[in-house]
Amino acid sequence: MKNLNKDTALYKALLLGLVCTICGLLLSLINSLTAPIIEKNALAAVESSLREIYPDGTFKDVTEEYIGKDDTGLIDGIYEAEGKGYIFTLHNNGYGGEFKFMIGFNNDGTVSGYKGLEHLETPGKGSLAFEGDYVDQVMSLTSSDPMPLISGSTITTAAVGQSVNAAKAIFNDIQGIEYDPNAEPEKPAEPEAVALSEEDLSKRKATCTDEGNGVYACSALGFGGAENKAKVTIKDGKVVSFEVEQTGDFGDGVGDDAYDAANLERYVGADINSAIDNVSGATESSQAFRAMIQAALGGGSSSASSDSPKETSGSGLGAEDLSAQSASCTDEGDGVYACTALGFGYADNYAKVTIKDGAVVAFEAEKTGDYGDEVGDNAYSAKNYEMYVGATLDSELDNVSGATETSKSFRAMIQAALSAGSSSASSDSPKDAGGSGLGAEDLSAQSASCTDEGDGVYACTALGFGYADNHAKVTIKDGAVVAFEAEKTGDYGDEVGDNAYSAKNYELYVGATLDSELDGLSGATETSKSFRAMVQEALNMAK
Amino acid sequence: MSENTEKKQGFFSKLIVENPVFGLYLGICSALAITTSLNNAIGMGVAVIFVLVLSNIFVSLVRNITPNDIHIPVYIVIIATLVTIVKMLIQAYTPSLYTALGAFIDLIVVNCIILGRAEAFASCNSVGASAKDGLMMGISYTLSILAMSFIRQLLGTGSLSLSNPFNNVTLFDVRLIPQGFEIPFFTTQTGAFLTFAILAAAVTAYKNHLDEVAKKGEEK
Repeated sequence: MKNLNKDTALYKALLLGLVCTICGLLLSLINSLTAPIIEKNALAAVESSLREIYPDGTFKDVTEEYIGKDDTGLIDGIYEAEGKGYIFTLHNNGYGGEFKFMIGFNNDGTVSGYKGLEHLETPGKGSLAFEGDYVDQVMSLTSSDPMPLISGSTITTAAVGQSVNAAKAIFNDIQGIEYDPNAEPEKPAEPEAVALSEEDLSKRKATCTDEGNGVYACSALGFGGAENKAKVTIKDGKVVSFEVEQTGDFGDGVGDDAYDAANLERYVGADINSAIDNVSGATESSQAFRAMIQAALGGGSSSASSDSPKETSGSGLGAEDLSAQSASCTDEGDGVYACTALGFGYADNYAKVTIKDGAVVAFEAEKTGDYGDEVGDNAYSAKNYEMYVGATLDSELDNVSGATETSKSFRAMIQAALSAGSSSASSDSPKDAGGSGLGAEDLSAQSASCTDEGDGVYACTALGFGYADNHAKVTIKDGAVVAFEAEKTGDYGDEVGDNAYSAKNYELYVGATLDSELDGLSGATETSKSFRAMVQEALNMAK
Repeated sequence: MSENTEKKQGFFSKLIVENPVFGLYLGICSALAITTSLNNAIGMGVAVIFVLVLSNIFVSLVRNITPNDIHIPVYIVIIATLVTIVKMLIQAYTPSLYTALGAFIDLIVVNCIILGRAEAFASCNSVGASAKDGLMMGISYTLSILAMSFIRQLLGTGSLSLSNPFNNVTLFDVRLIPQGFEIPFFTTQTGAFLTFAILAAAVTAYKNHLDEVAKKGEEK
């Protein structure tokens, strides 16, 4: 070494090599020390989930070992439960975005556990892939069986199946189990097709206009309530052509199969007694198409060309069950009622209804409550309001096509206004009173609490609209409210329930006792409830 | 002035004037990025001291056998190895710190202070002196980022807290500014720049003051 000149390339190369070697040795030394600890920490994070499948298991993270065999990229982690089996944590994209789940296989190939870890699937549709019957179904399978699909959540269950197949491939490889990776899943349990004459497709609200020569221009609601339009040509009671004009389906890629020329052929030659299958993965669109054909053929259930609300057991507006709309009206005098009811997406709709001699003389919707653009907008036109003029409690009123919820809310408001005098009408008596009066009203949802400030003054707070805090000072004397003042508008959002905060409306509470029946304020129901809750609490504390 | 006082003053001024972050403007990116809490500052500071001292020692050890034209790669290999070791240790023993510091542990490799001191001092001084220099610089850096963290955490969240990174046990958590009166601005990047600017200005002012005193001393 002494003879080696520092300037030679050899020396430099040797020095660099030596430095790197020493560093490398040092690094591997430290790594051997720390790697097990790091692995244990990472495992601890997942372990609580793994224990749901094997509560007594000893787990080892074997992802590094086997992940190389996976081409799909859907496997997040592979864990071996010593002597018991393997658990895979997987992900994929469903209808609502990415979801994560885990599936465990016992060493004999049977499924030991299946659980969703995170997902944003639509409740009642995609979420079914992680609940109830489907879970039981999966738990009864083995690693050689294909994953089933659920009709109506085909996107989610197909994605789940794809991930599980990736897991199965690795698991069967580890265990040496032979299986057919291309086995088709059982077809989703489709309800057997029913003859058009008997099928109840009223939900689709199909309507047809006779254009002459057997041609009908029809529309019906498809997936997500979106409108589908089609031209149906009938000859001798049979469909000779079915042409889809407007695809209404909500979202891309959903239900598109229904519009395939190949799948449309099934409607040609159909008559009122035909039983037509749904197109797989496009159940609602298929139903919409069948509804239009049913209407055009002029037979089947009474859903044909009228949109009579199906929910009436009796008849007429008076008997229609519109309680879901929670309509309430304030009598403004002179037969004018300012009403509010829930429309599409639970948004508030407001309208002024003028009643004379038990019939509607004017109907005007004041504020579009419908959630989102263009949905139900057609219900708000002056032309459609005319439908309500002259309406009585015996009238049968149609929904405006494509604005069912909004139409319902309008009818609910009119119903409430017309029933002035009956218990659900223009008074907003709290529906939940078991006994009567403020003392018995169930306002626990408002979570009211008061602090006694002395001299009969109570500083109270309760939850109002949108779970926002409302604050008020309630002064009680001799068991009755002498003053009520709301201090801070808690209502979430602008203009909602603001009318409740006026001095004029506070007077409502003056003189109130536990026996009083207090009205809610139209358009400020939640706020009114929170005020009543605070008064109730203060009166209770003052007892 | 007694000799001791002079020495103390000298030490203190050296700490401020030759402060790597506010005096020499080295290692600023980590100072801006991770100084949101005292925990982070201490964690980063200890990591930097570890790397700085050891890299200075090793660089000093090989300084005589390293030809000039490959000294950079050699120093970098040494520094990178040390940083990787620190990273593995942090990941294993203080996982909460690892998540908090994240990529900035790796960035210690390119922290100008390390390579700067290696070049400027360790490559031409003895092992002992280099080690001491590394320690001083490391402590100075730690104090600087502690100062920044102190200000940013206090003003930004209203409270000061410290927890044991090995087991996440809170050592203290004291709220000094009432809830609602803190200025969250200071926990953002912009707040970091502002804090840095103020502290840098203060250090420069002090530097200028010292220069003036020195001048006056000469004139006398």
